[in-house]
Amino acid sequence: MASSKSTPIADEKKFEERIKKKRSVTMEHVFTGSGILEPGSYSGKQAMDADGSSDEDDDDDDEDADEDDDDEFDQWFRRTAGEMSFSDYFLSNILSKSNAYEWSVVVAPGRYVTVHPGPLLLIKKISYVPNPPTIIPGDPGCQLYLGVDRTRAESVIGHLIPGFQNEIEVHLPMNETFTIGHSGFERVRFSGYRYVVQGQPEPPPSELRVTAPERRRSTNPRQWTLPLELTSKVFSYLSSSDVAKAAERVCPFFRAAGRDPYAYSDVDLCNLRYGETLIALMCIRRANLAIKSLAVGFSYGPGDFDLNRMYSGRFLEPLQYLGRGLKKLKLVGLDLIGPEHLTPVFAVCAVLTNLELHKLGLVTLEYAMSVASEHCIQLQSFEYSSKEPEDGVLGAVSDATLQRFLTSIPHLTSICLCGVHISDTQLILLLRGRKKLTSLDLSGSSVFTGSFLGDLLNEELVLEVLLLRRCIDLQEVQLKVFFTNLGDKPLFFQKMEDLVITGFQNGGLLQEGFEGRIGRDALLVARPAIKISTYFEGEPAVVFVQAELDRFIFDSFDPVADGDRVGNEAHREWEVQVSDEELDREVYAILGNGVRRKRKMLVYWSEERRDQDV
Amino acid sequence: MSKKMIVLKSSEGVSFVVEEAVARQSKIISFLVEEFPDRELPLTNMTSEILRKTIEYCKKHVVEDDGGGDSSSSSSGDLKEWDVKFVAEIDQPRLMDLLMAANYLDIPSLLDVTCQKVADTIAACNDEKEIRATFNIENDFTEEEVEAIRMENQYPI
Repeated sequence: MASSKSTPIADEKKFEERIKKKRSVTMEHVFTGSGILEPGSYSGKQAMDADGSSDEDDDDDDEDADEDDDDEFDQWFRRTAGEMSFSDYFLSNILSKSNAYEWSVVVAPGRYVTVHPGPLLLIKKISYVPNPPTIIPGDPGCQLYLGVDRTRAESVIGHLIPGFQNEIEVHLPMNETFTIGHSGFERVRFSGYRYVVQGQPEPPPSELRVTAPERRRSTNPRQWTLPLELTSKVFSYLSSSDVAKAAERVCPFFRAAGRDPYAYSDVDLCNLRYGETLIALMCIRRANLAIKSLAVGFSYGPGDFDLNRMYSGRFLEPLQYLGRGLKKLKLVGLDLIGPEHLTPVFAVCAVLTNLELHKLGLVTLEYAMSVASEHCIQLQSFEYSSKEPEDGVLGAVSDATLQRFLTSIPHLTSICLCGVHISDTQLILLLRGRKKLTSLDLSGSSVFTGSFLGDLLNEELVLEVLLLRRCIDLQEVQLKVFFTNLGDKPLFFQKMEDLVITGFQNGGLLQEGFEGRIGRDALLVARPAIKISTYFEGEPAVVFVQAELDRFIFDSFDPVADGDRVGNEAHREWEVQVSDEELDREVYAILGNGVRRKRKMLVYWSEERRDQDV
Repeated sequence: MSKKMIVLKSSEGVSFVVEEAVARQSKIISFLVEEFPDRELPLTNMTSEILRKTIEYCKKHVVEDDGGGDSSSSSSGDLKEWDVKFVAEIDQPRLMDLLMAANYLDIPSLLDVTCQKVADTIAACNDEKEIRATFNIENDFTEEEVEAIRMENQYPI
């Protein structure tokens, strides 16, 4: 510290040390972009916060000794941190001429609030509402986010742990529009002071109540006779669309209904154009413990752009704490979701009745069946389809696992195994083990020849629906035996209502015109109660909606241009690299690894629509 | 075999005689029938019109356990179509009454159908103005609330 003249590299090192010392100061600056800077005014002292003064004292001593250093530091700081730093001069200037008003905002789970700070706003305390909060078992607490609208970057500013750390003290001066949010399942209050230049009118009400009071004064509009609970129920049918947002703007009553966790009890994000991790997370946080069903993923989309990467395993995390009431879970085509995300979720899903796992690249049938038999013994319907039917690794299951699956789940009535490898012996095992089964779909599966149907002649089965579409190894000769048996014995599959068998071009053992050769017409006469459809499919059954995909890409790829959209994960990664370089050097120096990881999951804030008609 | 009949009475005092199997789709009635057998069940918060509609729905959806019955032979696809037509014919205020009746009588399938219909009506609107117009709702937000809504970040959801 003796000499202020040294090589640039040494300078850098020295300044790194200085930065570390000044953590408490720099931390506060990085979040506040500003065009109102006073050049040369940074001195490293924080005049405004009494709480932080004890930390600053040490720095002050140093600064007196090394004033040159400080000047140099300031110059360097301005060069690197540039316009981001808050000038001391600016702060003291504002504070000397302004009146302080108490300010606070309550942010509901899964919501974000944008704040216009005026000349200056200081966030001092962040706490749970209510305090103490309701503790959900296993809840690790919430990250508190703060995003500056100009950069659309979301930073983590703290962490609350219910029951353990219900509030934290911070010191964040803000002078441009910012957005706050959190990852918790309880409401969180951000409070502090708002400064207004003397002589100016008072700021808007100190607390903008976002949730509770609405309920008090909410009365039914004249034409809308439904009570609040039922209105929320109706909204639960809308929870995954743009309409939900519009509905909340209709009147205070609708707003209160839309904020009820019940309104998000059934979340269906399947094929939602702008669906991505954050949207799913927001819905789950809003639903809290009320969540009953969740459907996520894209069923269309082979092509250059893989939509399925829009969702990372992160959206499943809250379900570890909230999934106790989950009845239906449907995941479609998510390539990033693997057993490591699913296992902790299934561990709490004891009341799950419907499970659908379609085309998940990392989830094998073996895993799905074993995890279900371990935790989800209330299952009534199980659907699995393999991402790569021809591969055979994903869609195979061992006899032992299948047996355990059948014995441990007593109420299973519907099974769908598409594109899997399952043998005739396994199917006999399945149908004998689950005699209450009413629906079986084996479309697109291979290995079995159909001989299992003949071997079940003496079983009393209540199967109503049997779907054998595009089964690769299904043999005509076995079908003929099956059809003859069906025709001869009215008690064989006596409850059968729906029977679909199809062949297809370039694959499968069934040849064109098979329906005539297996004796369909005779069966139609013998068993009029069965609705039989057998035909030969020419076109592949995959439906790909190009227009829908185009619309999706158009809508969600440029969050900046289209002011109302959130960026997707891919877009974000790209942005992060830029902003990391330019903006967040200091943050990276002082934040822990966990936070840095979180930082990677930046959110870009959309331009606020001030002209929005409410 | 003669089917057991039960009597339901609407708020206007009009009595409806229905088969027990039909009425038992309502979990509340099912409970009441067991508690008070052979008694007229007064449903004081339901008008005759709504009660008639509810019974119409239940008759269509009755599931006969003892086989043989051909009244319930309609397949699930046909039933869905029928449901759609059923709610499409009802005007808005009555639809809401029916929804509340389904909730009160605890008939999950009817509640589902009616909620879906109301939700569809809302979803057919482009923005909040249209929703207000459709349901004739007044915009009685205070300025403070308008500001609070504006502050909420404009996410797709």
